[in-house]
Amino acid sequence: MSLRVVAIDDEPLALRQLVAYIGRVPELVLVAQCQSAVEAAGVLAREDVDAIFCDINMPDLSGLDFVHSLLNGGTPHLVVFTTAYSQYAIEGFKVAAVDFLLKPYSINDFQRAVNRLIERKQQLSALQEAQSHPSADAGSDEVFYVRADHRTHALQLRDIRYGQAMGEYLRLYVDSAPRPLITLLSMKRLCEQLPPERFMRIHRSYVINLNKIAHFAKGRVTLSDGTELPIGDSYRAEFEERVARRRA
Amino acid sequence: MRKHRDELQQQLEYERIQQQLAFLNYQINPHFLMNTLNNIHALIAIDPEQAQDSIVELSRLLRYVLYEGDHQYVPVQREVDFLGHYIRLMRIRFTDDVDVRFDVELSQPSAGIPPLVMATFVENAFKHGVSYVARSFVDISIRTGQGRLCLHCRNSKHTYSKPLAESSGGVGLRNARQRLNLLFPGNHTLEISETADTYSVLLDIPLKLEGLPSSVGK
Repeated sequence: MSLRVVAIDDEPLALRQLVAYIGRVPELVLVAQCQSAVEAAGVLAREDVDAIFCDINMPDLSGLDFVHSLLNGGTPHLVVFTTAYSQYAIEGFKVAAVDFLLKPYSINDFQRAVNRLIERKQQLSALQEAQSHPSADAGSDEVFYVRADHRTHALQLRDIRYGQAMGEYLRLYVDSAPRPLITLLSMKRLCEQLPPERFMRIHRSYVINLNKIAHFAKGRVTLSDGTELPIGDSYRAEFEERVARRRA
Repeated sequence: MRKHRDELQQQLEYERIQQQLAFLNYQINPHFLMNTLNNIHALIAIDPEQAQDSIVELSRLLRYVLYEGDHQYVPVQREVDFLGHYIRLMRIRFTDDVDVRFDVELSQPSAGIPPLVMATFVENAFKHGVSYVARSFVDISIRTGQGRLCLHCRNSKHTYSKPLAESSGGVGLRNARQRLNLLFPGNHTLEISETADTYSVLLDIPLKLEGLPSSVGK
């Protein structure tokens, strides 16, 4: 597995150090080194890039905009931030980045970030693979890959009970895990990835496995594990229609 | 009795001002420190000699801030030395496209000023004046004469520069202004002016010419 990366830092020495580290890790291919966000945006538009290393404190506003666009999921690229801010100050950025490197950082810190990038990329490729060849082998559409607790879980679809949205994260309740898996995935993305004939969104915050329904009444559904969940007003008609269809 | 109460009042007022001053004292920006260490870290591989020089600069800068930053007065020369360390450390962080001038003429180098009284203005000049990608300048001049110190600090402005009040530089500036008001009420000038492409600070404060601690002139 190799990763094509772009290095971004406005301070020449800091950039040079970053590039030197990239050169020491055999899995990394340096596509470009950029001194500004504008320059980097051009490279990202032209080149095939897996991941970027980006300084958070670039002084110009375009740099901040760039970081925000990255944070808002406006980029398919994996991001590692490098920064001289304290851990505390960057708390808010945590969700979106694969890792943070606090300046100055050692080659070991850097290697840790690269390991995370590689893990993440493998997970993404597995997901893409599963999506693009849903029936390549009989079992593949039964497995759902999800990233939580620093590893990728291969879940059996039949084990998934329901998912609950929590901001940008999701809680996934599955039979095979004692506690819900917390994963960085939006409700929308989850619903796109689950087979629609077996899963259904019943509320702004809930998607359920239709095979796990025990009973339902008056805008509420109870799952076989006893969990009671609300059915949102806007989902009620579709829910009743689909459950009725399954009943028939 | 009356006199005693007045004295007490004065004492309380003095202590209140000292407390406020302690709160407003310049504090080293941790971000500056970490970025400087990061650059020295890179220099160790690229230019070990410059890396060593930079560590010496940083040590001197820290020694001043840590040991003399809470003194009431320091000789002007000490403050100027500190600014020199700061400027040379900032210098390693950007390319030659930044034109930095540091012009000092001290006719009374051992006269006293409160420590770090110019630091915020110089720091802001770099923070807002330096572009890492376009041509830019920071121009600092310090003069003493007729019992006064005059700092003139100019820097280029860039299209992306935020108004100072919106950035964190605004806090530093507000604290510096308050500190000057407490230290030299009615006896200092702080003029900040902007044009389309230049930002300029003019500071004029009185020097303390007598009663300095014995370290003066060392």
